[in-house]
Amino acid sequence: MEPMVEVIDLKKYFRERKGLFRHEKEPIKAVDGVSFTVEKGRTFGLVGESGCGKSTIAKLIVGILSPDSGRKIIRADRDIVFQDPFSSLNPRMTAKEIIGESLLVRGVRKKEIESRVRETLRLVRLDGPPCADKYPHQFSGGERQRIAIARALVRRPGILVLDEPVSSLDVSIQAGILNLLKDLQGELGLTYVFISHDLRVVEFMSDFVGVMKEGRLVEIASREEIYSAPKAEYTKHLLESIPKI
Amino acid sequence: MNDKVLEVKDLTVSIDGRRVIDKVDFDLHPGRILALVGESGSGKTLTALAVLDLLPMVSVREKGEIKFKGRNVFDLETGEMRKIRGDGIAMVFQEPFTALNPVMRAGDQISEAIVAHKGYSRIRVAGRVKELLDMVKLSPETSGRYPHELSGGMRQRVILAMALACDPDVLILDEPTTALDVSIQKQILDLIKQIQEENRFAILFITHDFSVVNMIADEVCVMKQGTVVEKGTKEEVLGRPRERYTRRLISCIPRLGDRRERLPV
Repeated sequence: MEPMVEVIDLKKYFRERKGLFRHEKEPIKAVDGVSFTVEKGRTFGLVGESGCGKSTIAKLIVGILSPDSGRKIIRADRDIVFQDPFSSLNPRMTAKEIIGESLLVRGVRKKEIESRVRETLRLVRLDGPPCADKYPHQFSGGERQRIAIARALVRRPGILVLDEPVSSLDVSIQAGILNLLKDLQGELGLTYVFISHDLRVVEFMSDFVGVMKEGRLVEIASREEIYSAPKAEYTKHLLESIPKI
Repeated sequence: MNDKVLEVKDLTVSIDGRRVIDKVDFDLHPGRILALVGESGSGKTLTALAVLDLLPMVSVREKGEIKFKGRNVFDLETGEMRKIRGDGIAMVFQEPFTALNPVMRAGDQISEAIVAHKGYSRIRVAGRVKELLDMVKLSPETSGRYPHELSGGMRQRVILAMALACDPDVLILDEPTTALDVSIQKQILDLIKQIQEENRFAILFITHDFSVVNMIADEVCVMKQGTVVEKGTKEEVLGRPRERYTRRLISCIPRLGDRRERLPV
């Protein structure tokens, strides 16, 4: 079976123009030749420090940005969950409206939107009756992230890109969201691209891991290999900085 | 010999009839770090605000006292307390990205912290800024940069320099590494420990993450819904947690080499 996501030598450069004579500065090579594949139902973890280009890869995969060169082959519908649940949810829309919006703009009938939103809220375990009509500020951080996940899932995509989905949550709430994501993957056969700076979380979630630094993948291996026998110096450095308990 | 620089005794505060801090007790000693651990809403930030006598107007202090160097902060005059804030007791709040003024250079912001409390000459202030940047391992050039030109870790170091500017006796840090990458987090925590070793102030460190506690704390207070549910040395609380809540908070952190399929919730 062909992989759900194939990324081949993807490049994305950002150009800045600065200075009195508008000389073009050296472009920022946010993504500088990245390749990987993800099989159906698996999780590919992309790990690296701030600024390494992992969020740019997320945006390239879902089509928010276009690559400058390289190819991507995506074999299913895809959607994305961002890090900050508060700023990614419209504060003036109810949970129901936020989740149903992508259906509304595609002309789905109101009754069907309602039932699909209800079903999706149940999937993310937010099915208490008042939830659908509440506004983002009335929810806790973890609940808001569940709404963001529901929004991403309402059209039943095959692929979910998750960009630091738990980084701004308390550890106990993180645990609940990570468990939920694993359950959903099993229930819906989802393929995940899971991005984080935290190796512990990536290890928990992933089957395969790519380590990024300055726009490039310095190492790519199965979860077991990355953690028990890392090859790249940078990977070892990241592993060493993990707080132990 | 009483070397407690801060004593919180039986602190009880309500907001709208609800106890948000309930009989909280702990002490801070010079050169030691006490971690206040708990989830969002446990009252840890409010407790820190109480130490600075900065509780919100709607709150009611039912009982308890907070003694800074033997004097109850709640008995002090406004002017006296204002002198203590930033000078005797300094605090680094959550949200490092909004703690810095975006239109002021880093050096000027650090100077501001000094000038507010000390009547130093301009040259002496400049010298102190340089000293502080050096302490937090930033280059002197950082002084001329604006916050947006600095990485998250560098911004956090500037904020730390501002807090240390007046050589406080107590430093309160509220989730100082939450928004940072784990590798930067480690650098900042190591830096904090090193500076403390050199300067011997007391630290109150607020966090929700037990792995951070393990890296930095000497003593630990676990808070839940306004109360301290467990207290002890780091070794006691992490190694032999008595309360179920503490054990749960410790175990929900994913660990390297952890082959659990689900995390306990």
